[in-house]
Amino acid sequence: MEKQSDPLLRDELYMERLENGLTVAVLVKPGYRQMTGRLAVHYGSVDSRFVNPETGEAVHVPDGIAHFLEHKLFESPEGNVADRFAELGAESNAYTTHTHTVYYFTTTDHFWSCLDLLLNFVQDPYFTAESVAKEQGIIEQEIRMYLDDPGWRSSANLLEALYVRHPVRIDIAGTVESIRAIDPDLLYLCHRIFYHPSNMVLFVAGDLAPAEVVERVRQAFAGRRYPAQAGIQRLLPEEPPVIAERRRMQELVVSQPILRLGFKEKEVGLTGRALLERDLTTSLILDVVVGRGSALYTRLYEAGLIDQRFGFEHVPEVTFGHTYLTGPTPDPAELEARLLAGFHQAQEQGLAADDFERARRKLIGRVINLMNDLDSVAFLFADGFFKEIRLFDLLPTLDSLTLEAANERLRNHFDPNLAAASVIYPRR
Amino acid sequence: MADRFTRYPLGEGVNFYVQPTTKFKTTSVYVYFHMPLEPVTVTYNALLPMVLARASADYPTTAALSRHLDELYGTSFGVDVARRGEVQSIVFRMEVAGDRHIPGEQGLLLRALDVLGGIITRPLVVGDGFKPEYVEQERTNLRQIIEGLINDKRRYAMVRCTAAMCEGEAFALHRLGRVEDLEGVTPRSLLEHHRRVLSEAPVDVFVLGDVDPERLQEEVAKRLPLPAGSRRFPDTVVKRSPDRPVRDVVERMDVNQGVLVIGFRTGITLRDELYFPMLVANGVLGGFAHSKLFQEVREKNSLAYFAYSAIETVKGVGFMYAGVEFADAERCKAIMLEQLRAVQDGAISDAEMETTIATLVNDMLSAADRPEAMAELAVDQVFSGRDLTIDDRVARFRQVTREQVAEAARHFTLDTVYLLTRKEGGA
Repeated sequence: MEKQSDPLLRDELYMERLENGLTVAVLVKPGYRQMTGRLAVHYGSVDSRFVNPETGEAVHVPDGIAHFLEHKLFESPEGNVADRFAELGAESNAYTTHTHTVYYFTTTDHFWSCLDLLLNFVQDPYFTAESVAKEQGIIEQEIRMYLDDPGWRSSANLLEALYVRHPVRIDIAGTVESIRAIDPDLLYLCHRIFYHPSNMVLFVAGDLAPAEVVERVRQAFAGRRYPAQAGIQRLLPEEPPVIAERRRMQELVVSQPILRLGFKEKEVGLTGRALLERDLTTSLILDVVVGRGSALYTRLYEAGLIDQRFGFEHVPEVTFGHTYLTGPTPDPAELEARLLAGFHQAQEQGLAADDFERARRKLIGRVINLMNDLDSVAFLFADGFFKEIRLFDLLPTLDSLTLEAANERLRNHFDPNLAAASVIYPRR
Repeated sequence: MADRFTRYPLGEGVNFYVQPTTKFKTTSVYVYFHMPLEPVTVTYNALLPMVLARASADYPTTAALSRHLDELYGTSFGVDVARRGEVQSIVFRMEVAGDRHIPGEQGLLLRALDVLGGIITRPLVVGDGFKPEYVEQERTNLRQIIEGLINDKRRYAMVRCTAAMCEGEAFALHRLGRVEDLEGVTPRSLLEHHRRVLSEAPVDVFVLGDVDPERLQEEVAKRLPLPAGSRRFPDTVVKRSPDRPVRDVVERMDVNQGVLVIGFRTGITLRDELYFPMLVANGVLGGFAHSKLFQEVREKNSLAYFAYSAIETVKGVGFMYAGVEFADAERCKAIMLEQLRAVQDGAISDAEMETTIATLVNDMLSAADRPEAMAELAVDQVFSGRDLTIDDRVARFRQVTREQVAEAARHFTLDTVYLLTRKEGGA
């Protein structure tokens, strides 16, 4: 078992790769009453086209199938798996992102039964035509619910504006039409290919003995046989280095317009430390240029163009990436112009060394803070794992960043030619 | 494990609660000022912390304050206003990295407390009021946040149902106040209100982290000098049942999905013997995905994407709510009321009892891993006057019987049915 630790965080993480390809990671949290187990699958909404390793043929499955599969796996011949977790007093749930799917439980008792249940239900698909039809009704409701959600729509519209062909521009849940094309055979196919142990990681955190966890997982898989599977070839359309649309607008029942301004990544394909460096550098830049302590933030806030709901984030994925800044505003055109001008000015002047150091200190504190919460740590672990980013890479990478590289990144990434805006307007 | 606060009275109506622990990598500080929920001051109480958070006499601009907190390793600071029954609490939160996780650092907590004490007791004053620009900006922000409640249709529907149900009672007021009160606020009237809050509100200060309680007690008292005053804990009027016939409210809007909210009086509060049975009753009925509402409305009948119930245990009210297709609202309501009757009749399976209790126990034990949840539980204790540890509460949940659950559920008395639906003639 490989042991990783961080001198500042004073946490220990143990990792082991099992014979069947599954990686098991255990974060030891002394004194915690909660224990969590999370099975993450490297399969998200952007993986609708791939080469079927069984036949060598390219397949295109309906959009939204990864999310549909996530919902359906909770069904077993004995009923809903979530109910069985609940009987054990555990909370269980799952989520699907553009790039991965995570199934998890959090509990304060019966940890081993919960772990067994998690490992088994994700490996035991059970789909019938009838249950698939019912799920289509439920997901249709979910899709309709999000149609009224301004934050969700604002995000979806920006992705459609930033990307020309990349499937990140399609809703994670698919569309009402696409999910109607899903049937049990397609679900079984996707499960067989993507839910192979070599395409998954189990993350466990709590006041637990790592060796015992690994032993239990080994036992749970003892009776299961998986055909050897080479890496899955995912097919993505060629994404041109341009945006699809400069601006997307939509009217909804909201009190105020909402602006979301995005900058598309020029080059993608980074993984590991390189991707993490890019991500943390971008976070520091955003904080210095437009964070609460910045002159730009003060001007925008005092002009009434933003309020405390204003926020920003860099989205670092392997096959796509962008930065967005968002918030409700009385004047989206003015806010957009001032943000673009603010980044332009920062590019001309460069970041000040003391601002950069202050932002770095802040981020160090935030990383330490984040480690208190099992949900946040687990989310971070799963989000990084398939990009080859490790939990304890964070602080050393943060420490290694330089002002020169940050200024370079500032000039390169915040390019107005790759900027797009999504605006939600109040419906009259 | 202890998982409990020790109380140190700092003065009449002012209490310091501390929980030393090395479990967390940060130290968390929460300061609560409890004010009565009343027209007009409801809006002052909501606006005040927003203005205080902008700057202090020590850090006279928002940017200077923010930069200083960043220097203290990203010490996070936030304000909020909460409502429990007819009590409105102004909340200040701070979280600071533990010294032992930052090489070469000492005394980060005390430096953070200096900032917090300054924000609360030494505001930035210009002439005889707060800085006018800050008041104006935050007044605009608060108006926009109140008007923005409409953006989240589920929450908006709950707010509207509560307002309709409790019309004429303080509980109808939203924790963020009313847009119409904002015009009358001046930098001076808000500063006067600040003095009133400091001298009249009962205060609770909570600290969790790697600290020495005795020493910290003195440091906190020093940094939070409060004027003498009479601090009386505000009351809440509890109604056991409605005093008028059931009211139906329909609101029309251009939406894709309807929201149904059914409001009830329960009269059961956290001081009642039926408090723990009531929490279980809510869990069996609709608190969770395994509950009757979610199972019947969503899983069996595919009528809604969500269907839950919720209770408030200071005012003693309850709600059932669901997101529905417009045409299904009546059927959805009938099924929901049927589920309530089932719980009232004691039609509760062993699995429903066991699962609900196990889930509530898990939630309770999980609170011990989250500083904010611990502080919130401690505030509940202030309201209930009962000093129960997490393990005491777990034991109480485990003692609840099916008969007690049915009895608690029978306190749900229908008051108001609210429906948010599409405009007539819409698609």
